[in-house]
Amino acid sequence: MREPTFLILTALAETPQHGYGVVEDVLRISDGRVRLRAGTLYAVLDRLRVDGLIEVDREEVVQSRLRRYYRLTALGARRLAEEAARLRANADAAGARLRRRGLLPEGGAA
Amino acid sequence: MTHRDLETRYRRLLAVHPWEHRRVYEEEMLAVLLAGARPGQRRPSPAEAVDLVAAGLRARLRITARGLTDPAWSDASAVTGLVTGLMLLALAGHALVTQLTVDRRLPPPAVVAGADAVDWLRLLGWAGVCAAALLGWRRVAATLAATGVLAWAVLVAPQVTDNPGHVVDTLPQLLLAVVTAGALAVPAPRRRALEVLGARRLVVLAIAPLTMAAVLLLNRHTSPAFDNNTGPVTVHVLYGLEARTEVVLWLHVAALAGAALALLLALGTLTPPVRRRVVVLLMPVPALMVIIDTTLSGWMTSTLHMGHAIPLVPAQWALLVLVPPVTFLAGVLIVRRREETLRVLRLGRAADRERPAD
Repeated sequence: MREPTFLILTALAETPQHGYGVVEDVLRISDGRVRLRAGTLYAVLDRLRVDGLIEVDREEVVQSRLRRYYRLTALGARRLAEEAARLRANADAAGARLRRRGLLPEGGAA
Repeated sequence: MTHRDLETRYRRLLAVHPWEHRRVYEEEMLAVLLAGARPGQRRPSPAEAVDLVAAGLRARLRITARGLTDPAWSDASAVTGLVTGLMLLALAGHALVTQLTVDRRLPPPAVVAGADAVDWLRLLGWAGVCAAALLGWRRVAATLAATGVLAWAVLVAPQVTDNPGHVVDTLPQLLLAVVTAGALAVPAPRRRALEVLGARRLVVLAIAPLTMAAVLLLNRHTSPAFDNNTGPVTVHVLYGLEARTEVVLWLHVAALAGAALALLLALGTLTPPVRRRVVVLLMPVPALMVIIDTTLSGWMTSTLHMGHAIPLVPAQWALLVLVPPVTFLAGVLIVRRREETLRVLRLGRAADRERPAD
């Protein structure tokens, strides 16, 4: 799973959001590092919908603009949990090795 | 006003996306783009433009790839692979018999060129391709056909400096072999060609090329013999066909035309989506033949009679290499455009039925 996909699923994990909400949330989650652009965002959303990981929650029209809210499906939640576990295991392994070499202070990040 | 300018420019960039994507997401994407715009922004930033164009092109590629694996294409490929295989089988049979019999049109002494292992292997190979395709062993058939292409590369291609006329002469057959290998490599349900064609069409498609080969051989065998002793004789000639009387010549032409017509009818009565695609898959072959016939006939005569081979210039090679794929791609685009138009017409009709015009 690529990072934008992971971050978009994470953004939708708590509550349904519309496109721009996802962009802002991903910016927050990634500490301002990942700013999703519309082309990338909707390519990922389309693929996630086709794969059944997300679905449309509801549609609203705000100031004559369409807002479609997306939510995670049960399958999407399971995939995200698996990916999070995989990333955590990798990060733990990296942290443990760095600590053993003394390159990472005890209790530091990772 | 600036907002509207920006919106128009975003819409222009969004137009790179295929319509299937735009129909679902365009308004939403526009909302996201405008929500993220800086106050007073009048044009998309370069990064936004690159992102939208790249995402649009990727979506187009994805949808085209999805379109090429749709059932109509795989049906058409299965049919085309079998049809071209049968044509190559007939051509191989014709070549073998030609090698094994005397050409009466040549001056004596009558010599039989004789067939070598390659001539027999060629016939067996294409018979194998057809049999495997009919039995549903698609991969075996595709691999055998690809071996035929490879055999051309090893046996014929090296003659390009000494005998370029012969190499160019064999290009349409090579292309038929490439089409056969490519068409049979497309995944399709087992024995799909048989299902799509039905027994009657299959019989026509098998017999028509063989009939044409047989007529050509019959003509060769009954053509006026080269004879210096009987004085002047009249010979009617039409392309490669020769006969003593005009009636016989036209009978042979009629037999060839009849077989070709039967072949066209068998393919022409397939369902329109499959028929369109079969035409697209086959079209590169006649296109290449027309190009060779129209642009290279002068060169072909010269290189045969000058006593030494005249090499083709790079632009001529480029033409020969590019015409088949360009013809195919143009066909794919035309089929897509035509089917989109038909779909829109159907939607319009359905809407009219639901809410008749006043």
